[in-house]
Amino acid sequence: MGAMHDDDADVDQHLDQHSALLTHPIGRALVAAVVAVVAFSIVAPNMPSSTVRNRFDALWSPARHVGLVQDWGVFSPNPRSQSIDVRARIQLADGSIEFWDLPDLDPVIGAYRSYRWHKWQERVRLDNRQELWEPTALWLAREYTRDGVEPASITLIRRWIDHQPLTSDGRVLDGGWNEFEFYTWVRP
Amino acid sequence: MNADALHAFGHRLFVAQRPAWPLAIARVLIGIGILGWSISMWFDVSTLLGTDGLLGTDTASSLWRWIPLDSDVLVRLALAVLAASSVAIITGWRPTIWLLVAFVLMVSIQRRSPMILNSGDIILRDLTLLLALTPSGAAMSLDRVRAHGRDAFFTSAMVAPWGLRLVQLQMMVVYVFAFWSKSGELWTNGTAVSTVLRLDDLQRFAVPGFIITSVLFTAVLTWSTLIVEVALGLLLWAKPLRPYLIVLGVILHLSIGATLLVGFFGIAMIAGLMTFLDADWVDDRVRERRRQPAGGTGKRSSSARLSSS
Repeated sequence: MGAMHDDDADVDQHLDQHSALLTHPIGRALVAAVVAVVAFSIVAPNMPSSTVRNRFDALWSPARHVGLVQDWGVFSPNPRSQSIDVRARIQLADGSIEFWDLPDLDPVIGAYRSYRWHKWQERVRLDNRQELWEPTALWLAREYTRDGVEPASITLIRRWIDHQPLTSDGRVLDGGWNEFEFYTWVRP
Repeated sequence: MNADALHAFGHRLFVAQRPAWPLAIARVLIGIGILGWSISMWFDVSTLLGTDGLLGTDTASSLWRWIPLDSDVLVRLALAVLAASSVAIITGWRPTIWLLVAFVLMVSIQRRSPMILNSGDIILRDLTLLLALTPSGAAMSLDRVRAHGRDAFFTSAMVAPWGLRLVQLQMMVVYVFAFWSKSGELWTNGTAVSTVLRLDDLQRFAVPGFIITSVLFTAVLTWSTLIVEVALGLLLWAKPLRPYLIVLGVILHLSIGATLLVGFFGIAMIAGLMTFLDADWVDDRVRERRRQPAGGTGKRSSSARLSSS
């Protein structure tokens, strides 16, 4: 029973520790410091970019390094005006051709995975992300090696639809899918 | 405002104790979010986080990674511990410690491949850290059961709200700056939602075509999004409006989550909104359900100690 009481007391102490800090002057000073630093780290990085703001970047840099990151510009300043897609054309050594698309996951459960694939897709299609292209081709080459038949070449294709704003009379003037081959890997 | 009034305001804001229900509800939802996040990530470890995957270790974040997870085995180990910590968070077993563990692991995993992250991943981990600064285990927790017996699960201690204010501040900042950043023409002319709902790669469940092509529906949805965001950002601390704003916020996030691929953004934001629930109102409802006399939880006595400080 004695051990049980000790354990219970330990839990009580744990439950009360946040509030108990306020019962001591040192605790109150600590809480004030934590509240001030964290509140600053939440608000300040969101301020509009300016020379003044940039001068103080170092002040919230520690919070950013720790992992408390602020970036809440969603669909801003406008939602993007393109639907995007990336696919790959795989030419196997036997001459046959296959296409690879992003995993088609179900919208109920799979949706909690597919957003990551779409984020990857947003990056890999960019010209300033060329460092991702060869690893993508090499990964596809491994995926499509079957029964000793290896891909001879892999072409990454950028696809997109241009969306126009809804017209004032309710018409949607979207085009069809466009395609551009942005990288070809050939087995050495 | 004189010094006494300022002191009273500060006391009410950071010290005056209240039941911990809002924190406990947020804790459970964040725990569920972390559990779902870790399980869903597990299936794509070799592809999106693996050494032979699409994103090599050279794509890892240059920011502090806590634990460099540069092998598939380490990532899977971290995800397993993360899932276990989420169970501890949901059930309320030493949640402060496990929230900190979960935060460190999430940052470590996310910074291994930052290119696959969205805002939901960021707010999930931000709220995980901020909840660790609160006594979120002071209600609906195994810690309560261990201390006071099985009947104590649906009881709450009285807690100081200084940590709660940081969670609330984070939520309001998200809404204010989400609103502030939407300065483009499509938002002002009322067509932004139509464009968003036509982005093929972001669709979850398809929206009926007449909504996308209706100038009226689109304008109402676009501008109501802006109104709800700015209201949540600025008015959540207005007590009379709070219940309505919480409901509007939950509807907003359920709608976004149903139509768009936003991952764990919805559950994280709804968890954060729960911290604005009126703690006394929830406490009264729970007591009614349990037919308990007021003051029956045995922890309210501690409030006197802080009220006088």
